[in-house]
Order: sequence, then structure tokens, then C-alpha cells
Amino acid sequence: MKKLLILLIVAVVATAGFATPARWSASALIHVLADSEAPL
Amino acid sequence: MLEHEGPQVEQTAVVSHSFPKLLPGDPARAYFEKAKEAFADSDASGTISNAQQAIIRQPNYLPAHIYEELGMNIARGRNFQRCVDKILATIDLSQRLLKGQVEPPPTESPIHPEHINEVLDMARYNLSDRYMRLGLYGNALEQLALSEMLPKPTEARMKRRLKEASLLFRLKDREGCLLKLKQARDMDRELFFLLRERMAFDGHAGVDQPI
Repeated sequence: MKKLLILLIVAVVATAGFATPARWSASALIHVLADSEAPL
Repeated sequence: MLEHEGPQVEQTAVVSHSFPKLLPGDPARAYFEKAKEAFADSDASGTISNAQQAIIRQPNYLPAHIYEELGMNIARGRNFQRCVDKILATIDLSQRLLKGQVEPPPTESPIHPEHINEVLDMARYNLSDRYMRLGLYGNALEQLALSEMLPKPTEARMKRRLKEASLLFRLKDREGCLLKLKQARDMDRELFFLLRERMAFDGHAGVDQPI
């Protein structure tokens, strides 16, 4: 549920147009999704 | 090539796993932690330099190699071919560790084969993505198929099905693409619609078609 909530926030922020590609890079929210995987 | 892709955003899933940490007094550990912090701050050069410092001190600590490439991947003017080369070298190191051809670094607890295999899965997933960015869809599909040696949580499995769907779409296999999309949807509908929207935005062609 926590992941889904974060995903939802990501989607809302993206839809609102606040997320530039650079911003996505900087955001802790990037950890929810998906072009790479990394060990903790 | 990159020109064929949609706008790319950096999205990294930090997968829960238990790769053993370096010993508390090991200088490489502090550099590795700094590399992770730098990456979380989207600081490409900080990620790369700290990961490299960790690697200088512990050349066989696999997670540091993963982070060095992640830094390369978020750098301005990134070079996907160099990312591919780095990941291939990391995969080679993983395989040599598994075969006992190189010594594992001293860690808080022993490094077991499943730890290495989990990092290998991550490396292959990342490699699949970099191949996709280079337009090498067949290679990407091959690496994706190899990226599930160990069981994965739903999100990780769904990402893989969606990426497969997109690669099949690129390769003009419409039926295969739809099959993968349905498999992904059947895992969790709510997560599927969110994830495929994000991946479509991230240059994964074909994942947003109706099924």
C-alpha cells in the first residue's frame, strides 16, 4: 500500500507538470520505479 | 538509438536485498555510503567518484560497481555504450566471484551465491534498459530474460513484463506484446495502470496500448 501511495503521488506530480526529467533524477521518489535497479 | 526513444526520465528501484556490508572500519564502506547518498541526490559526479574510491579500496565489492554505472547513467552527456561496457564488466566480476576465481571482500557476514545472483539480476535488468536506449532491442530482451534468476516481488516482476512488452512491440511482435501486457495486468491491476503510465512516459513504447 505504501508503494502504491508513493506511486500515486508520483503520478499526480507528473501530471501537474512539476516533474522535469532532472527533477525525477533528484527525487527520492525515483526509488519507486523503474529504469534501473540498485542494491540498498 | 536514443532518438527513437521517448523522453527519458531516471527511475531507479532500490530493491530490498541483503548484500552484506563492508566491515565498519573499512574506508571503502564510507565511500560506498557516500556514493549511495550522492545518487539519491542525483549527483552523478559524486556517485561516480565515491563509487570509484570504494572500488579502488575494495575492487570486488559488487554494489559499488552497480552504483558507479548508475552515476554514469544519470550524468549529463551520458554515453549508453560506456554504461553497457561497465555493466558487462560488473557481470564478468560477478561470475568470477561465483566461480571462486576472485576473492570476495571482507564483509559483516559471508557473501553467499544468492547475494551475487541478486546483484546479477539487477545488473542484467539495467543492462537491458541501456540496450533498449541504444535501440538494441533483441539484446535487451535477452538480458531481461536472464534478469530473474531469483524470485522477485510483484513490482519487479511487473516491470520486467512491461519492459518485455515494449521490446516485443519494438520488434513488431504485437501478439507477444499484448500477452506480456496481460500478464502484467493480471499481477495487480492498480499497480499495472500506474506503472505502465510511468514506463510509457519513460520511453517504453507500446505499453499504453489498450488490452
